[in-house]
Formats: sequence, structure tokens, C-alpha cells
Amino acid sequence: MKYSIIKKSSIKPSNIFPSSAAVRSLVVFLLSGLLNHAATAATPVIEITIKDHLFYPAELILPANTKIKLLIHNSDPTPEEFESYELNREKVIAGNSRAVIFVGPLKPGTYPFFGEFYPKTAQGKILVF
Amino acid sequence: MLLNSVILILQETLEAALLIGVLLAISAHLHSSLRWLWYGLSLGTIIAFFCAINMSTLSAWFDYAGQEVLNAIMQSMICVFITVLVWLISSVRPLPTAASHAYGNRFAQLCCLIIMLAVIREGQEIMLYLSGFLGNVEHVQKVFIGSGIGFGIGASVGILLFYGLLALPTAWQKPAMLTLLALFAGNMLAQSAVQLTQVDWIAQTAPLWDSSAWLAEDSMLGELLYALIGYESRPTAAQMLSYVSGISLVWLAALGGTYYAKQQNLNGHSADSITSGACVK
Repeated sequence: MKYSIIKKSSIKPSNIFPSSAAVRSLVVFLLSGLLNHAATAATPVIEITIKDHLFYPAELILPANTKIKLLIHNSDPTPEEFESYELNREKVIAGNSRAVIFVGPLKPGTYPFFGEFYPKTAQGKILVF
Repeated sequence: MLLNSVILILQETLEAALLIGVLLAISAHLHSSLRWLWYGLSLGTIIAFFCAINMSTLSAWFDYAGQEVLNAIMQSMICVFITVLVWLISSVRPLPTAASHAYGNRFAQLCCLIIMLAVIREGQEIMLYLSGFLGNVEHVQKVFIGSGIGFGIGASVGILLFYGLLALPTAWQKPAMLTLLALFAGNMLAQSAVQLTQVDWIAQTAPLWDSSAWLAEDSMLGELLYALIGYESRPTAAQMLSYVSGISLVWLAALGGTYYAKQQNLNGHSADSITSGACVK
């Protein structure tokens, strides 16, 4: 298998901002018409590692019409920017840090992504079936 | 590496440069002092520096949604400040040619805040990008030269917009400036919706259309239109809704301000007398 799906989020809640849950629920409440209520705990998590300006794995196979949580570890000391025009995603990831990006539900197709800071090597794609 | 740096820095600078171009044109109209530009740029750069060195920590806030939430807050604030600015421009009529102190100060403060927020957002990305190459003997020179070129092109486009606006027939200048500001506000609010979708605070829905075959976002024209009017080849409903809301807010501020100015003039208070009262010192 090229990918692994972990049932539960492996990220521990951040200690830096203790009241983030409260703030979040307030915002969710205020914008409840627009915001997504669905519990995110059940969202499958897929991990991607950036190492030497390459994505591991560089190819992900995802099911169609499913929301996926991408957990990206940047194990390089330099920052990288995960970007995809097809997925409409763009996120800076500091060196030796991790980041979360939600993608989907997606229609079947190919969705390339790349590292904007090192685009020559940092290339990958998501294949949705 | 050189070309990549040119493109990346150009992308990041273009938005702020265009915004500065419009604000400068309005400022020239009002004969306002340009101190707001330097305050906005330097404050924004300083805050961007602290955001960049703490990016790892900031990103971990709100269950790893920190970066997006902060960006969305800054983008929404730009939209709100543009709305207030448009109210300010529209509600004083005739526009004081030599801007009075009070009016000029309020205008300058708003411009300063808008520029500061725009610079924080784009500046932190540029700083992080450049920081990655500082110890890289092989690439550092190319990256910094490329970034300089990208920055230069971005700034030139902003300056071009500034002179372009001032070269318009007088009757078109104000509508053109207001239209651009409305599009910027819509763009900012739409981008904040994208940020919140990325971290699942707003549910992802299927794109409303896909125009990438006609005009790709990563093409030169696509990038320019993205910075200028918020062009997106695969927008979602939340994006469109925010875009229209941002434009409507500015449009309402312009209409409301114009109506307010008319009422004031009917009551015999000319705009100049309102503002000049506060600046007698």
C-alpha cells in the first residue's frame, strides 16, 4: 500500500492556546449557518513527510467523495509551502514542523501538488478513485 | 532557482503593490501626506518578522489551524478597513482638496492599517522563503537576485496602476478607485473563506465551475487577475458568497456615504466645515 489511513487523529491538542476549543466552539456557534458542524474526529488521516525537498509518499491514492486530513511533517530544516491549484490549497510549513490540511470530498481525478519553495523536486499528486 | 524566486516573490508582492497603488492614488487626490505608507510598511515588516520566526508555534494554535485562522482574521480586517475607508471618502463631499488634519489623519490611519495587514500576510511568507536559503551557498545568490527582480516587477505594477489611475479622466477616477477597492475587499473576504475551508472550519463543497482550461491560475494573466480581482478557476460557494459580500459591503458604504454627504449638504453643513472644525489647534 502506498498510503496508510489512521482512524484517529494522532495530533495532540495544542497546549499553547488552552482555550482554543472554547474559541472555536464560539466561532462555530456564531457562524453556524456557514460552518461545518460535522465532527472531524472520524476524518481519516494521511501522513506525508517532506525530506530533502521531496514528498514521501509522492503519490497518494484516495477514495472519492471523502474528506481527508493530511498531516504533513516537514522534516527538513528549511520551510516549505504546500500548494495545489487543483485542490485550491496553499500553506507554509516551517522547518521541522508539522501542518494539517483538509482536502476533499473530491471527485475522481488527478490533483497535483507541489512545494512552492522547492518546486523542482517537491512534486506530488493525489489520485482519487 | 532564479526564475522560481522571481515568480514566487512577484506573486507575494503583487497584491500588496496593487493595494498600495490604489491607496496612493486616493492619497494623491486628497493631497494627503504619505507618512501612512512608511508607517504601514515598517510596522507590517516588523510584525511579519515576528510571525515568521514563530510560524511553527502560530501554526499549532487552534488544533493546527492557527495560520489559516490568523490569515482569515487579517483578511477580514482588511475588508472591514477598506469599507470604512470608502465610507470616509464618500461621506465627505466635496472632497477637501487640501485635506484637513482630522480628515487626513483618519484617512492615513486606515491606509496604514490596511497596508500593515497586507504586508504582514505576504511578508512572513517572503521572509520564511528567504530564510530557507540563508545558509545555502549554492543558491543564496540566485535566490536573492531573483527575489529582487520579482519585488521590482511587483512594485512596478503597483506604480503603473497608480499612474494609470491618475491618468484617467477626472470623472472616472473616483469610480475606478472605488471599484478597485470593492474588488479588493471581495477578494480578501473570499480568500479568508478559502483559508477556513483549508482547515475544515467551513465545509468543502464542490467547485461551482472550473475555468482552468480557459485561464489557468498559474498563468501570468491568471496571477495578475488573482491579485487584482481575486480570480479563481475553481471557486466554491463559500468563496463566491464572501466575494459578493465584500463587494456589497463596500458598495453599501459608498452609497451610504454619498447619501450622508448629501443630507449634510442639504442641512447647510458643507463637508469642509465638518472636518475643519476638528483641526483648529
